[in-house]
Amino acid sequence: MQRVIFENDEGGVSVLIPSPNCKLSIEEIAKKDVPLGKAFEIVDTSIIPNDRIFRNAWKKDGKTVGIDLDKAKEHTHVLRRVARAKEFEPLDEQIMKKLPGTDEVAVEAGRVLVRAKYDLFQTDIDGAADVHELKAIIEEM
Amino acid sequence: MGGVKAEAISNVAGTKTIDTGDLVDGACRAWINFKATATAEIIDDFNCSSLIDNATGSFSFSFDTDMTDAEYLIAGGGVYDLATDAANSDININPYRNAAYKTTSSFRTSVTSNGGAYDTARVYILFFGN
Repeated sequence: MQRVIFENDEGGVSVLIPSPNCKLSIEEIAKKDVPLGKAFEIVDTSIIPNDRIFRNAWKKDGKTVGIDLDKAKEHTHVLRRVARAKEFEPLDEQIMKKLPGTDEVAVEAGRVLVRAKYDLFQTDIDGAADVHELKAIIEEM
Repeated sequence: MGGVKAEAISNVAGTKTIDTGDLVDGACRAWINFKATATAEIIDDFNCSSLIDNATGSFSFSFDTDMTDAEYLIAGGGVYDLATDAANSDININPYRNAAYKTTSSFRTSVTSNGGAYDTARVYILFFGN
C-alpha cells in the first residue's frame, strides 16, 4: 500500500490516503487532491509512523517522515502541564472550599511536592536527547 | 446518458409514492468511514478520492465527483475507542470557519473529544447537498 506525503501550511507533514474505491491511480489522485504548488512524494505506507503520540511534530524529510524534537518537547510540556493540573486539583479544592478541619499547612506541603515533581519533569523534558526519552517521561507522568 | 425518467416511483400496491426529485435531492452525495488511530486508513467510502491526515484530529476529504456548490451539509460522529465503550467521550466533527476548507472539491474538519483534538478509533462523516 502507498501514501502521498507533503509539507503542509502549518509546517508539519500531511499524509494522503487514497480511497480503495477510487478508479484513479495514486499519481492521479495526488495531482488532483494535494494542494496546488505543494511538492509531494509517493511512499510506502510502512514509512508512516504507527505511533501518533507526537503526530503534530511529524516532519517531511525527503521520502521519509521524521519527528521534530523541539516540537515533540513542546507537546510533552503540554502533557506535563495537564498532568500537573490534575494533581493540583484536589489540593486546590481543599484550599478553596476552606472546609472545617482542613489542615492547610499539610495541603500546602502537598502542593510544594507536586510542584517539585513536575519541575523535575520539566528539566528532564528540556534535556531529553531523543523522542524515546520523551516517551519514557510521558509514561512516568 | 441513458436512464429511466419518471416523476415519481410507487410501491407495487400503489399505496406509497415518492417524488423522484425528492429521491435525488435527498440522496447522500458522499460518505466516509475511517480509522484515525495509528496509521490512519479508510475503512470504506462513497464518492471520496482521498483522505488527508494533517495533524492530530485534523483531516481533509476530497470528493471523487465534485459537489455543485459548497453549501452542502455534513453530519458525522465517531467511536472513541473500539476496546471500551466510552459513552462520555463527546466526539464532535467540526467544520472550520475558513471557506477554503469547505469547497466543491474538498472539506477539512477537526475531530474533537471532550473539546480537544483527538484521533478516534473510527470517524463517520456524511455529505448531503447538490
